[in-house]
Amino acid sequence: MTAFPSGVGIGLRAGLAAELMAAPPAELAFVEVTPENYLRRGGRYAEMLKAAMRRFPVVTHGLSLSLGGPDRLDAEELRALDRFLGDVGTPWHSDHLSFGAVDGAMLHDLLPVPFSRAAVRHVADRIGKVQDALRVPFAVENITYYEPGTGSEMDEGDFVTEVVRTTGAGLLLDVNNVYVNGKNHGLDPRAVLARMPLDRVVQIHIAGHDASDPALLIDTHAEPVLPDVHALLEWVLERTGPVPVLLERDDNFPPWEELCAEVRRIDGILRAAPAQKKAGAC
Amino acid sequence: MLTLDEYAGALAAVCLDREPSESDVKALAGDPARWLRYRRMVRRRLSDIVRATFPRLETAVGDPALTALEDGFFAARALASPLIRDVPGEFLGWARGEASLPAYALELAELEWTERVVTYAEDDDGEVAPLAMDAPVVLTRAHRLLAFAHAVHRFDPATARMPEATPTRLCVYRDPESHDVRVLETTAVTHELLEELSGGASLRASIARAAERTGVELDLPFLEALSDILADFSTRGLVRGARRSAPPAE
Repeated sequence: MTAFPSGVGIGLRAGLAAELMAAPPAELAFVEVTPENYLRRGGRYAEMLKAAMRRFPVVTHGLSLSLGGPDRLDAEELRALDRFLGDVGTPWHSDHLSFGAVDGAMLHDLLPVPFSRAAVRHVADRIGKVQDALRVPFAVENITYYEPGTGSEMDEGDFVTEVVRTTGAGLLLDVNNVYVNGKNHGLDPRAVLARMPLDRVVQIHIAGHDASDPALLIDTHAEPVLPDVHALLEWVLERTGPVPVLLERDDNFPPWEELCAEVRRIDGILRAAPAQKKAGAC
Repeated sequence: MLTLDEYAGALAAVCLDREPSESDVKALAGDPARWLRYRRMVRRRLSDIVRATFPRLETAVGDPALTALEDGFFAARALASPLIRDVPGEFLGWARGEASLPAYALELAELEWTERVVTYAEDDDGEVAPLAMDAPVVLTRAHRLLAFAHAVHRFDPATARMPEATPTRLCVYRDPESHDVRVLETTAVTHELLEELSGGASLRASIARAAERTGVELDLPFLEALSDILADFSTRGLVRGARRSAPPAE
């Protein structure tokens, strides 16, 4: 994967853009953009993207490839995506290990792919097509699943490892998703992480979640990051060494200074990480 | 055991059907409450963007009617675009065939969707020349022309009364500086002129056809008024200039 600043980034969102441009925290190293928000779009969105590109390195993260879905990948959309990635100069592109499109209907959600051998083959085949279509390396992100996909026959760690090893893709590791899954399914997040291909991590996502129902945490990106999730990030960084960490905040925006403080907190954790990953840690 | 395709189909049905079928939920196995959570999440996300795009429609028809429309839309699975921002347009496309929606409400939704489309229309590019009678006129990409049977641009959410039933022609365009969307009510002849210009006809031909179609005499007062209108449209950024002629072939 291409070199990229191993600092803290934030997702470029319309609700944050004005403050992000006016008073970015000194620790901010990059911004992440979702191509689906900018493709074939002018006006305010185009202006916001151009302003961000002038100021920060940009990495892209998509929502709509439906890597585990049954519908054929749209070659024209992939070409448009590839052009966009070239225009913004992203070092890699990522999308989710999930599906969202079925029989021509896009559900616009990240639905769980079964952790099965058949799904590994299916997803790997589609990732191969994406890799062929894009001129930048590709990475996959582990998702929050509220119920394992029907027909699962392995755990998430093994599934992600199989997909990544089969395809050579990078891993965008979402530590909040691992935490939420652990709580929702009675698993130890560190044990899950230990089974993930941490040597393939190119980027990390960290976010808050809705814990109003302790029986089912919901990944919202609309709450502060919990200390337990910070601790999990620290645990991961000890094993991966420094990698870019993206703070996801998509809704329920707090005062800007609170977000800046969160960026600084994450930056502190990142700076404390060993310069090299632990020998034999992965 | 479900195949991958069967599993995806069952989960999509649980999420999008008017009512989730017991057989689909059972086929998915696991905890039914959690599959139904997916149903709520999917529908909530889609509904949120529909309602964020059509607040005046929601006011006009009320929440229960809009919810019923959404239920029909989800069940029809008219969700082809990979871009969530296209969902309101897909909803509108589906709603055009719904007899339950009053004509003015549909026009209101058309206006709201057009405002959204124009807000994010692709930026203009390419150089233009000064306006000339025999050259095609270049309008900004960020505009759309609408013709309605109701004055829906005057809809007042405070009263939610049906707007006046009267032929209404609108030009929705984006201010190139502020990116704010503006709605202009135009006369029939101006609407025809803009339609002709959008089609790539020259200024001279567009004026002649617009006048002919609307029965307006091509006299000096008319041409002077038209000149003022074009100057105003240029100031607004709606008219960019004339298409540059291609360089002569060598």
